[in-house]
Amino acid sequence: MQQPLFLTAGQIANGDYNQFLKDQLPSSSLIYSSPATLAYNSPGAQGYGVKRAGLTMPESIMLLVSPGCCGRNSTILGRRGGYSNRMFYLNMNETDLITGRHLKKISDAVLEILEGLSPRPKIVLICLTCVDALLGTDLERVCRKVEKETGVIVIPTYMYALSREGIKPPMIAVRQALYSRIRRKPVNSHAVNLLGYFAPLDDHCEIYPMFHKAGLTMIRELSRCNTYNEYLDMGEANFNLILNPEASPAGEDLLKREQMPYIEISRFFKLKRIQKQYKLLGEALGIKLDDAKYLKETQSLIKNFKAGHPSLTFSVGQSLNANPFELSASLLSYGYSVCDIFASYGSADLPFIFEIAQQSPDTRIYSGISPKMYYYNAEGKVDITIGKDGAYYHPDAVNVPFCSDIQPFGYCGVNSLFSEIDTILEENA
Amino acid sequence: MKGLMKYLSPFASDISGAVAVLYEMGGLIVILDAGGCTGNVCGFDEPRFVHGKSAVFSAGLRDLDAILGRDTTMLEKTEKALKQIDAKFVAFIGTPVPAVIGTDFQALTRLGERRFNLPVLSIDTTGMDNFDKGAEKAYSAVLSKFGSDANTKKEDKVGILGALPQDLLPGDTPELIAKRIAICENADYVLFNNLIDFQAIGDIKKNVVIAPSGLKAAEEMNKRFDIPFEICYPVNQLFQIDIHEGDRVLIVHQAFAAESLKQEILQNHSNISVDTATFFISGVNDKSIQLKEEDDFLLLIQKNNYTVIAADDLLRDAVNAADQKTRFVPLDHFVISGNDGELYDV
Repeated sequence: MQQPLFLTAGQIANGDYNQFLKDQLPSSSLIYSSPATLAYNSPGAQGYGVKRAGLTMPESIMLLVSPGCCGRNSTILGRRGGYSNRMFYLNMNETDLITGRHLKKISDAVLEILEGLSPRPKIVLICLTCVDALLGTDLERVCRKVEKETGVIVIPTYMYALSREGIKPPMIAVRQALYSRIRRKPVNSHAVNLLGYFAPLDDHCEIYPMFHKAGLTMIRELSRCNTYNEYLDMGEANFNLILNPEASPAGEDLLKREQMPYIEISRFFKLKRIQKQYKLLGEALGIKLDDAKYLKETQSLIKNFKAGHPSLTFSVGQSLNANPFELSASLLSYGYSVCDIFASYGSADLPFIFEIAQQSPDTRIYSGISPKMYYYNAEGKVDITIGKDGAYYHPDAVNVPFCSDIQPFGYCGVNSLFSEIDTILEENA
Repeated sequence: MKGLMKYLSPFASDISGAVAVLYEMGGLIVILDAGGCTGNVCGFDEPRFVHGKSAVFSAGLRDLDAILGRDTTMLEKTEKALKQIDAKFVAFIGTPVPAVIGTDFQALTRLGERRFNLPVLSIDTTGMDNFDKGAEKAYSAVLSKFGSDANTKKEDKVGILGALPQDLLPGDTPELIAKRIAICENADYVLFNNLIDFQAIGDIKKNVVIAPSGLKAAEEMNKRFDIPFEICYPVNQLFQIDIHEGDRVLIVHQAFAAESLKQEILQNHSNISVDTATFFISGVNDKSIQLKEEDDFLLLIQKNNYTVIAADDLLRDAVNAADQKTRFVPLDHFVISGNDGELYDV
């Protein structure tokens, strides 16, 4: 029987982790397809892929110009996600591949689509896929031409899976595309944009009241904009706050193009990290961010949770609203056990893996996409799996998906996590 | 406009059709893509994905692999996987990426067989054709590579071609269809979902083709092994469509199922007319109206004043757009509307 590929946190911390990193890359191995790794191959399968993300733009529709197979998942996901009426398809055939004539059809296709829509959308996102990457299509030029010929705003987006480990992977590129139309307006010193997610933060997130108290009373997120004009109002922000590192290049674009400064913070689940981050953020902004109340509330919630569940063993997947390694390190710091983690890691994750290794060197780290996972069978006694993919790896354990569209962040994120675990444990009791 | 879908959305592609045929055969299936095609095939077009294991992999191609034509890397990765997984053969499945760069599938087969010491199939699907084209290619490829009447016990079985779970009428499974046919033929059946079915062709007395994707393979078996075939989709007797006297009916599905359903309706109802149409291979004698584009479907509806349209629910918006006062009867076709979420409720 072949053994699935895993290393322990201790092995990674003490070993040649550069080689381990290389071994996980698609350049080294075929990518195994299991229900758990579906989101790796098809990000839209869980949460947001390029197409659904693009439609976060208000008053927009999307035209996917591609071979028919590229749009297949939208056939299903569009109906489930309620955006099928905003997705349109211009299917390519082999002659298009050779001649590039599909690009000439886009203007007419857009006009034909717009004819039948009321109210008329303000924005059309054109999405191209791998074949046009290989053909070297200049989509920006195509979009400028289409915009001129149709009179509607046209934004290029790219579903270039071939470049997902490159400098500009699709999920970074789509964020850049989404924020590309923001133009500087007279600065409102009370305004800030939250960049990075395609759905809003949880309404209870402490960022909102903390910022309000500090004078940042106009907090905007793309996903909360109902109209294109509201989106354009994001141009008055004093600064951009980046919550997801995949939005950093977009922040950089806005800095260079519109002189909009930005600050980056991250999603953490360890209280000390959250506290320190808010302190540093306040210092950087020159304001006092009073998080004491929220810290205390979360500490109390965790204490109560631990009283009810003193000893739990977790398994952590990667289809969830968290960095699986930071989350695992956080759970260990709360006194819980983490049996295994099913996630590919990069160099940015190593500090968390070292932290895990210090507390739990035997925690196993699997690469879900490794061909060896074909022979995976669940091992170890696990109480809870976190992440939608977790249910596949330990089907007998209680699964906590923690993958809602609404984004957890900060102390509120920790509260959401433990509340969700608590609720699901009660339901399964 | 040709190629434009305003009301419909893409159907399962030829990539999914090829994988569907090979899915249970015990091979290592490598989809030559960056990952997205594999995600679509497994997550949305393969109902067996959640419940059964199959060694389906993405080649994980990246830009430089495609630009530089690094087939050697892909072969190395496959060889590495074969050291970890037992497989009876390797199948390379084409996608738009190898279509653009002009991958030589025949060469890939030869190189692979020399390197792996295993049979290799290379299916030149492109992602730009429909499901049934890919299935047709896969059937032909397996038949060509493994088809033999040498290992025969003369068991007089009936072979069933085209019985893929994605291409059946609602409520049917390949096994249910097979049992219906087996009873009629008073014989055991093979579904051609296993290599052994191809390696023991001499055991088959007759083929029944239930979907156009299996027609070419039936014709090849007839030519090579003298096995007669019949086209017939055995409709479940309990299957009903709500039809009234005087109705003008249009059935949209795969051609053989649609035709069989039409015959059932005509037998059981009087004073009605029934047309069949398909977006897929229309099969022998073009009994079904061939639809190539969304516009063809809209035009067909507008010209004919159907009172009942039985089609996959995905086509409902198009029917409404054609502004006909028709009664729409859902007639699920997985190849059109796909996996409706079982995967995400794991």
